Amino acid sequence: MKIAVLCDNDTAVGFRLAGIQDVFIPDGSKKEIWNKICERDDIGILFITEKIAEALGKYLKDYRVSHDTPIIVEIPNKKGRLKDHVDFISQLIKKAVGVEVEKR
Amino acid sequence: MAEQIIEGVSPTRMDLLDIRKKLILAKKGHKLLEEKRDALVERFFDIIDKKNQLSKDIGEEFKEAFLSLIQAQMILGESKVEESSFLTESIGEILFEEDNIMGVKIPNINTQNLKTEIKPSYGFFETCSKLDDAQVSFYNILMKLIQLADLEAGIKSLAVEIEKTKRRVNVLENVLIPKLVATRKYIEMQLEEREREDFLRRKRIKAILESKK
Repeated sequence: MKIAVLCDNDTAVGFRLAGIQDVFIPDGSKKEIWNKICERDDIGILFITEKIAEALGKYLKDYRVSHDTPIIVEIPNKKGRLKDHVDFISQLIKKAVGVEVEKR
Repeated sequence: MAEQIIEGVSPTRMDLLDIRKKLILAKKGHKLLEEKRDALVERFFDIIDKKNQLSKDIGEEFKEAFLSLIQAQMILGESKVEESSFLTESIGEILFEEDNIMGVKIPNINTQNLKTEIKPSYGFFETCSKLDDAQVSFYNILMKLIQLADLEAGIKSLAVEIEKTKRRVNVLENVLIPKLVATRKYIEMQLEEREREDFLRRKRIKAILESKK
């Protein structure tokens, strides 16, 4: 299984340097490129920047609920993590346990 | 909530025995499921701790990596950095395995086939050390991200299983067991009532027979 990244230009350069060759950069329609990724079945892990994840919103969420692979991990972009962005896994934890779990 | 009884039972001794058996079974199942839920939650918290730590680390490392990348871009120019980035060899592929925690299947990522270290494949003639830094730090981040992906996949399957188990425990605790208890009580009361009626009838018949003598 391959590792793929869906991100903006700067992050893409970084990941290409690290040796990932399946890099998707959305130009214009994010949905279109997302559908293209969905169709491929050789991707094991997909890293996606939070900004794009936010833009995809419901599509991404539905896909994650119904599919086990690829494993989708949200990563920060050049400007760091989005402030009021709640990632999928935290939502899931909240739903399963009933409270938000945070250790300081 | 009014106590409900299970539909379709007739107040007979047979059904009473049946209900008693069912109640014992339900209680046993409830205890087992409760244990399973607690064990899963314990495991869940373990993984969450690890995941939080890891994602915090990754966030900081990302900052540093982007810093070196931006510096490299400043020195070499964006297009040169992008060109160099295309030269890196592929990191290889990952394999999926399955782990089993109390009947929950959890994907496990096997990183055996990945390269263990990274060497710059662009010429060091035209590039600078900041690019090397950026490459190394992005590679390190990638390794950590793979671990994170592993943990997150585990969290996902555990969360689904915990929800399922929780629902089952709640159904047993709040619906099935009270229903069974109510039904048992209903049958017992009916039987007692019938016995009393019978007793009275016999007494009455006896009295009538006595008076006829």
